[in-house]
Amino acid sequence: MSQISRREFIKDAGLALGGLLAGAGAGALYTGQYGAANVPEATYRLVQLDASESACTGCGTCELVCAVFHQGAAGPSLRRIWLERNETGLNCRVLTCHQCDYPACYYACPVKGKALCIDTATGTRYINTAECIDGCRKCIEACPMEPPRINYDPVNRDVLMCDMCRSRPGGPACVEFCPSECLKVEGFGV
Amino acid sequence: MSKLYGWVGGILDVDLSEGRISVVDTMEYALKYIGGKGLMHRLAWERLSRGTDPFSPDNCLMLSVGPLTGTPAPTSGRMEVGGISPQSIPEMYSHSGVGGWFGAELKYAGFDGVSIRGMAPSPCYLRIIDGAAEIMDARHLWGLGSYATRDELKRINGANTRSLVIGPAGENRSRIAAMLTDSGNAAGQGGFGGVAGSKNLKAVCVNGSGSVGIAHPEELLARRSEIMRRPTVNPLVSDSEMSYFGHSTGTVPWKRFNLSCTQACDRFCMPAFVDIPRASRAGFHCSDFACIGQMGAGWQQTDQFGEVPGVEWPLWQQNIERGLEVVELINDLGLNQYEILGGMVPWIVMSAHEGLLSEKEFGFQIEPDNPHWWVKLLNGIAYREGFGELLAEGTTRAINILGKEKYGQTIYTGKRRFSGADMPTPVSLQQAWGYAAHYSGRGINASVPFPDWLLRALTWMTQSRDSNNDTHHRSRAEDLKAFRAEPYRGEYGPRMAVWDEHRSEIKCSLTLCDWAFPIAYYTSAEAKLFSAVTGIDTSEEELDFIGERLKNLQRAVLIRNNERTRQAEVAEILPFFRRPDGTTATAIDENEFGILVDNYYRQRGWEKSTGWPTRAKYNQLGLDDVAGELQKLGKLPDTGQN
Repeated sequence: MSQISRREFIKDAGLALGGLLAGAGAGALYTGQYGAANVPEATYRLVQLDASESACTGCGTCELVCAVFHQGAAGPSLRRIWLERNETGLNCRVLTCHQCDYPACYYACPVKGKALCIDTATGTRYINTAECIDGCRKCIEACPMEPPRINYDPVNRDVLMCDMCRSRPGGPACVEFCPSECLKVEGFGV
Repeated sequence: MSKLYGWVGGILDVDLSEGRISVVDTMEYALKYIGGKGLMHRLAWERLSRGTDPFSPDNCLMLSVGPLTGTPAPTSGRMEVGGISPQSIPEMYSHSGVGGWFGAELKYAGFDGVSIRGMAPSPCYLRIIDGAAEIMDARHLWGLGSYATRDELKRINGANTRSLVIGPAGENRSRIAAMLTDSGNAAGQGGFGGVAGSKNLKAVCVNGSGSVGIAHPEELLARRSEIMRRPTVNPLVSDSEMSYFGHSTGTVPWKRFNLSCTQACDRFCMPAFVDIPRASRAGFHCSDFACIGQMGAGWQQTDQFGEVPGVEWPLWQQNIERGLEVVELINDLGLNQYEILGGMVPWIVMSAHEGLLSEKEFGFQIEPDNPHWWVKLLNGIAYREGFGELLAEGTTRAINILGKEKYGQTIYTGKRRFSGADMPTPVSLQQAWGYAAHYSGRGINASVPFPDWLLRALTWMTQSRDSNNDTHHRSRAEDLKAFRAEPYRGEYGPRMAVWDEHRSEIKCSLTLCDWAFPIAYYTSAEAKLFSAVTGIDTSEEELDFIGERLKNLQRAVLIRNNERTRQAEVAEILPFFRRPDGTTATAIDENEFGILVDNYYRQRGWEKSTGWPTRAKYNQLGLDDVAGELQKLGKLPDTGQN
């Protein structure tokens, strides 16, 4: 999936969802910063390198450093990136937020622009948990990916989504700490 | 209660006979004994009394993790398993480390340890989910192999379920039965699979959605960054002797190499990168090489012996693909791979070569180059059929039953060349405490030269298992140089042995991978990781002090329960080292070794004639109550100060 169609896939998915929403009179739902037509594209996203470049060893460091950087603790409910470990083969997958062109999570958020936000400079989609409505989780339901790339922390009742470590000077922690260097930040449209 | 960092709060206390489950507060133990092995030492002191049969309901099967488990501290996904070991001779308190993901999941479920005693009336498994545990019916799992058990537990309890299971060998109370995690890691040595089997406990499975708090997250990430080195040499073009690139091109229908074998590993995972061109790679922070994992798949090859080409050796001619088949079957049956491949099969094959064992005793022809032989052998052991009934007791017990004089001491007289010279090799590789030789200058992995194996002799004395049981001896290069200059009488030998022992206790208590730590050029790494995670600012020296406490506590358990004395310990290990070693045919100098032992005991603060820690030593380490109990038993040395 690395070279071929990820971007096309996202586009297709966006179109399909857009069509659905439009059919449901979705325009009326937009109360946030951006309407469907003018939401800026994300500049960057995380990708896993093709196995010919570097293989994931399945250590789970990405999940752990993600949780520790953002939440100050480590655990399955606190990560914003997922390791799909293949115990019987070598093809482990790292599942990341796609920073979709058509951010269904954003449109689904009842307080979009406050809770689910889009960085004006980079277009990065992120969640401001302080403004988030406890336990609504509409963003998770809306995520077109399977499994959804938004986590839920039941203790603090927070939804957690990759924000490209936008507040971290060194960039995404998962990329920096991956022992096999199998993750990278990829620029959209570059 | 203030917020916990590192530890998560509870130790599960399970009695299978009564079906009772309760929780003990971890913090009653944590500050003094940390977790992992250290916590088990204390629980063993409190719960495992003298004379307890390993297969009796009174034995405790303990699982224990530490404050770093489940965090991004590098290689921290490990766990310790312990109890009275049926494999050890005499049966005594011992342990086995295991990697994988189970330990971290246990923390996410809210527990720092589990202690299981009693015996369930029918096959059961223990299910732990987010702060609660339940004893579940496992009658439908009984008889399944370890992989099928894992899959079934995932089917029943969800795909994210982590498990620690036994195979048929454990059910049949083999003394060499392992416990395996769902990711294929094994607590292999010690026979704890048999202990679980004796309790009718098929598995422990765990599912956790909680978390481990980190006191100083940024500090922890900074330390991890520091530990991870990024060499720019491409390992694929290096000529490392430890790689197996040349051996595998094949068509193995299942996994050829393991993935990283424990959560949060930052190690250079060489096998996983075969044929993947890269410019750089993290890791390499072991003193020797990055990881034992790369050897896991193919170490049963004959080149493990390090001989020159053209060697004549009556062992099987394995290759990596066939080796893997054997390993997979050993795992599925739930057997101890090291015991079988490092002790038992070499003994069988060499005994056959020397005419001591034949089809008559064995029941079928001994032909290790025939794959069917392995299947027959391993099934026989796991199900206790035919000669396997004897082998299920472990190699040393089998030798003792057959007759130690005949089967235990014979020297293989065929050619075994090393550095151009013929080397005599013993048929029996079983030596101390009931275990196969382990990288100590003799036996299957005989390449450690004199005087380096002297350090193994020294640390093996006080152990309850094989030598090097928390990995091979580690030391700083400059210390090793000084030791080699004056091996028996110099001060460096005892000092290095003590340091290595303390660090073994620490890494297996935190928990960190025994192959990765200590790091020779960064010896404060453990203390820094511990401080960052727990928020308890601890120096390297302070952590070493805890290591000393743990070592002395483990010793106290063995002194109280197993009559450990200097005399017994020295007598236990000497026969092995009296044999000429595998590189220069050097044997131990017994008188000089006595001086080394004197110096070691002195350095430890143990009384010279008994080898027992003094009351002053126990008191210094905060083990006053231990000293008190030992005094009542007459097991404190008479130093005139008791």
